[in-house]
Amino acid sequence: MDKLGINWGLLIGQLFNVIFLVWLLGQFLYKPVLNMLSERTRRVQDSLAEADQVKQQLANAKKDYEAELAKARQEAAGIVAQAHERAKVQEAEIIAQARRDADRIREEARANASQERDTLLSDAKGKIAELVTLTASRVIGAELQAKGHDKLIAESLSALDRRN
Amino acid sequence: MTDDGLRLLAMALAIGIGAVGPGAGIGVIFGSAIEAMGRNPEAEGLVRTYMFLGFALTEALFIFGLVFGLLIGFKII
Amino acid sequence: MRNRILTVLGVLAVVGVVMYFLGFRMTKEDLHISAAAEPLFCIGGTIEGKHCSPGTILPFTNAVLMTLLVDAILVGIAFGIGQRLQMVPRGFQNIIEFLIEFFYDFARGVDKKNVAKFFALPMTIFLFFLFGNMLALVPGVGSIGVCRPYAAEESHNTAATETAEGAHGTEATEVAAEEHSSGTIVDLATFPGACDHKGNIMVPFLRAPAADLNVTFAFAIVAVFMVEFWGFQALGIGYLGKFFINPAKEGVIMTLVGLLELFSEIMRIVAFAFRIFGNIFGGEVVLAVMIFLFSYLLPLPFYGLEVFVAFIQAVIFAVLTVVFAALAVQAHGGDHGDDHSHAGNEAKAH
Repeated sequence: MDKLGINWGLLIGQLFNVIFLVWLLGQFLYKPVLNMLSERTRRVQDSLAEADQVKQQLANAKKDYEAELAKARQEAAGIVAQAHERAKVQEAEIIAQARRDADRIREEARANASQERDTLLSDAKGKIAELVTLTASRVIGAELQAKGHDKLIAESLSALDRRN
Repeated sequence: MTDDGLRLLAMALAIGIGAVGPGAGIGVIFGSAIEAMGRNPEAEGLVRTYMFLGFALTEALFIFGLVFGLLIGFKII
Repeated sequence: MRNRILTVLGVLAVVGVVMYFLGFRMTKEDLHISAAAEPLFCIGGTIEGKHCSPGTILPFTNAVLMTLLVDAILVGIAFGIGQRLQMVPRGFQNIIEFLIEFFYDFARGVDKKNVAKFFALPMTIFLFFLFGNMLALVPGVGSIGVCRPYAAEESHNTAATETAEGAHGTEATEVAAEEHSSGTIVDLATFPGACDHKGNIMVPFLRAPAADLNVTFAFAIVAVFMVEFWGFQALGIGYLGKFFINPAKEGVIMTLVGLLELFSEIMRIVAFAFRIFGNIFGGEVVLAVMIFLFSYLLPLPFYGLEVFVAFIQAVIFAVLTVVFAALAVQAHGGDHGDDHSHAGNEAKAH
């Protein structure tokens, strides 16, 4: 025993040392370190889950954005097509209107012209009749009674018409 | 033969004979461990743990022999 | 890189051989090996050579000093790092966290359910012996100490004359180089701070805690006691059923096996204590013998081996404690690899 260095006092002292160390390290080293390790694991898991969530949200947002964009594009195309359609209809309308207006104006002009000609002709006929009467009376020398020679005047006028 | 000579002889025998068994045992342990690692490389960590456990337990026998050899040789017992 | 290392080693080998033949070598008297830790001073007694006088209350040995040093380091870690943990680890905190996590994962692999209860004791064993064994390998531990008269008076006188004879040795180192062939040997004992071993003994200030049986027995007793305590705590009085088996029920062989287990349970204290003591003390002896044989380069591979042993023995002590504790809290039969129903029946039977 003595040669191996075993000493009861030292052995008991070392026993107390062991118990003291186990208690102190267990209380002040392992417990906080293990808590810290599990806390860190938890945090890392949390942040990983959060990152996944954010990624998911980002992907969703992108999908939404693209869908919006596609919809808008479609709508725009629709609007443009509609506008084209409307423009075409309007064009046709305008052209038709214009054609109608032109026809109407032409008709009016033609009617005016024929009316004027008629007026002018009737005026001219009256004048001519007067002139004929005047000329005839001068020629004959006698004042022909206007009322008695109506038949003659009409004959000469119709002859004039025919010659016309 | 003197007392010192006997002591030296005893120390040599204790260490020498004490090394035979553990030497064979450590060889078996490492051989089996390497074989197991070769068969199943995924279990390498586990195999290594138990390999060292077995190594230490086997080597302890030789250490007992060594300690007693030293104790005899240096006239402690 | 490889060439450079080889060159350095070669140069060191040549220098070593030259130094060896110049006389810078250990004599047989320098090779002092003590299985017991030497007292630095004795509380309530006086020093008599390697031992304290009879009736000493407490010898303050070099192993005690080293134990206190390791204690101080561990307490310093507990309060310096354990109380100021940072979420983002830096520097030394990494090492401590790595050690604790490494062992915690192992212990959880052995016994997931009770790991929190077991953990503090094996972890303390691991840390204490890891730091103690590693610090014991620092150069100077075990080689720096006080010189103390030890042997009988007559050998002291001859030592004194020899010292006077070799007094010129310090200056004569260069001279000795030329006188090499004539066999002049430098007397290292005349160097300043050296201890003349002829009649004196060098008592180192520090000694590996594991190389003192008091320390290893203290740890072994606490470990085995706690293992038995956990066994009783988990199984109650039925824990004794592991060792005292009814021969009428399970046969005489099983009864003998149970008694053998009881014996091995008690022998565990001795095995625990002597395993780590033998490894560390044996390692020190091997290093001392190698330094005695040839001091240059020869101890290097053994030094590497000792670093490995210092780590692995600390792990082994702690791991075996965990394994034994896990076995103790299991119901009887569980450790024989039987199926669960069988184990359950047996636990009920006891």
